[in-house]
Parts: sequence; structure tokens; C-alpha cells
Amino acid sequence: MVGFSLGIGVSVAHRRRRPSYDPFAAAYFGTFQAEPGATYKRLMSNFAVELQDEVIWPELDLIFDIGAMDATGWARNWKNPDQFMLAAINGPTIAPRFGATGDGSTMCLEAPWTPFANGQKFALNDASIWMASHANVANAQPAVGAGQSYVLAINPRSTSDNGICQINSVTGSPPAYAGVTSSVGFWGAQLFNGNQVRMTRDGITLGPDVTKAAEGRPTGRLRALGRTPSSYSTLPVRMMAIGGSVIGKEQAFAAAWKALADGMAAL
Amino acid sequence: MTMQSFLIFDEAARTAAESLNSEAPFAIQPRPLDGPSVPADLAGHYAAPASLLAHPDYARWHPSLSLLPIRSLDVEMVFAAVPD
Repeated sequence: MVGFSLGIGVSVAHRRRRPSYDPFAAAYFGTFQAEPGATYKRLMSNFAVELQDEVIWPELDLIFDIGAMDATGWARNWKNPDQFMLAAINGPTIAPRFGATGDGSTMCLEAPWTPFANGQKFALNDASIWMASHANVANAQPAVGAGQSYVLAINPRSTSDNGICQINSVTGSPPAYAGVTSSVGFWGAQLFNGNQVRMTRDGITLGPDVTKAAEGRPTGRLRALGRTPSSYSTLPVRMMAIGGSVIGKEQAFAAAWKALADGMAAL
Repeated sequence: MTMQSFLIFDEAARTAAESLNSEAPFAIQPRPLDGPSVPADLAGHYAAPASLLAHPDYARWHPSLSLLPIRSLDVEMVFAAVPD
């Protein structure tokens, strides 16, 4: 009996294990038209694990890597790959590792998701929107967001070199931070405590939090390369996410994104 | 002044193009020509980029798009900013 038991143990020890990936990441890249390589899978798995460890993942409604290395991976929502897929409207250019670029007048990416009707974690008084860009382009209009009734938007670098964001408000001027001379980076706009707005780049605040009370959630659909109803930007957008405020976790989110983007750039 | 080349849609052409939008993740949404200075013959029409004609991901639209007129238009004059 002892010899039999040892024999099984040796057999198991020598069995080659398949690599294990985070189940959320695996569900996402399982929709890819071509199976990604092991290193790319590991990068995606690590990103999902990191966001879960930091309790950012459950606080987000949508995550899109618009520079995904797959024919249609850019359209998939990491939180649920078959739900709220992006549509490329009017032919924006979409490139692996770089993201989407529009013409500033008609092209955009749009999710069938509105902050008002579909926001789960994205609440009236506690909300955030995130984006990344690998390009430095000043624009008059926001690069991501939604409108109609109220506004949600990030414009990393305006034509007057301000970082501008707006989140669940429409009256008055949106928070603006001077001296932004590059739109490259990972950008966030967060609303917390119902009236505090924070804008960050690569996890670092652009300035003091701004007091601006939440008024309502936009009823228009979420877009990249502009925002609903009719604002369009030429700033290329690499990623977009939206959800609850995840206040205080900006640096962790930025670090997780940087690990994924830098890792993909090296593939 | 920013000039771009656009396919011009009347109401029927727009409806026909958007009827093919069911297959995600690609879609066409011609934008209304409702700006401050729209050429008189384009009033009530819509525009989408002429580059769609050469875009392989929009191949299912190509047979109908190839029949549409193309115009070079100043985007600041033909599109209106819709208020929130």
C-alpha cells in the first residue's frame, strides 16, 4: 500500500500544470478572435488581479483597453465581455497598443451605456471616469465622456493648456487645472462626498480638490473620442473605464494600468 | 477652417445605412448638417467621412455608400454644437 501511494504522488508531481489565469481576465481574452500569447495573457491576468487586490475592480462598471492586441478585443468590456461592447462609429482608426483616433467631427467609440440608466457603481454622488492617451494633442473638446442633461467629461489638455473635467454637473464652469502641456498619461476624474472633484494624471492630483456639487447623471451614451451629444476630439484614446469614485486609489489604478501598457509595448 | 471630405446622405440613405448597424462593433451614424453655414442644397442632409469607402471594416456598407455624392466641407460651418 505504501508503495502504491508513493507512486501516485510521483506521478502528480511530474504532471505538467497548465498556467492559471485570473478568471475575469480569462473570460475577457477568451473572446479574442486569435488566442493571445502566454506573456500577454499573464499581463492581462496580472492587471485584473491587481485591480481586485486593490478593491478597484468591484467598484468599476466598465473597463475597455482600446489598444488591445486583437481584432475586436478593443470593443470588449473587461467586466463583462459580452455586455456594453463599444461600437466604432464612422470609421475611427484603431491600432493595437495605441488605441483609437478620430477626425474631430464625426468619428467616435460609443458604448450602449448611459450613466443615468446603466450606472451601478457610477452613482450621483460617488463616481469616476478614467482614460489613457499615448499622444500629446491639445483639443477644445473632451476626449471621453457623456452628456445630455448633465455632463461627464475629461479633456486632458485643452487648447489653452488646461486639464478640464466635469462629472455629474452642468451649471457653472467645470474644474480646470492650468499648466498642462501634454495629454500623454493615465487620467482620472473623481467625484466623492457628493461635491468634491479630483482630477489626476498618472495617479497624481493636478491640484487641490474642487468643490462642485453633483446635480445629475448624464442620460447620453458613454463615448471615447468625444462625448454625447455632439462633441468630438482628435486626441487618441488608449483606454477608458468608469465606475465609483475609488477615491484614494488613483496611484494603485495608475500603476496597474502602467504595468499592462508597458508590458504590451514590450511584446 | 478645417476642410474634410464627406459622403452626403439624404434621409432615406441615412436610414438605409443605419439599418446595417446591428452587427457590432462597427456602425455608421451620419451627422446632421445643422451648422451656421450649410450650403443650400445640403439643408436637411447628413454627412459621414468619405474615408469609410476605403475602410475594410465597413465593407458591408460599400455597395450603397459608393452611390452617394462626396463633398468637401468646412466642419466648423456645417456642424452645430448641441447644448447639454
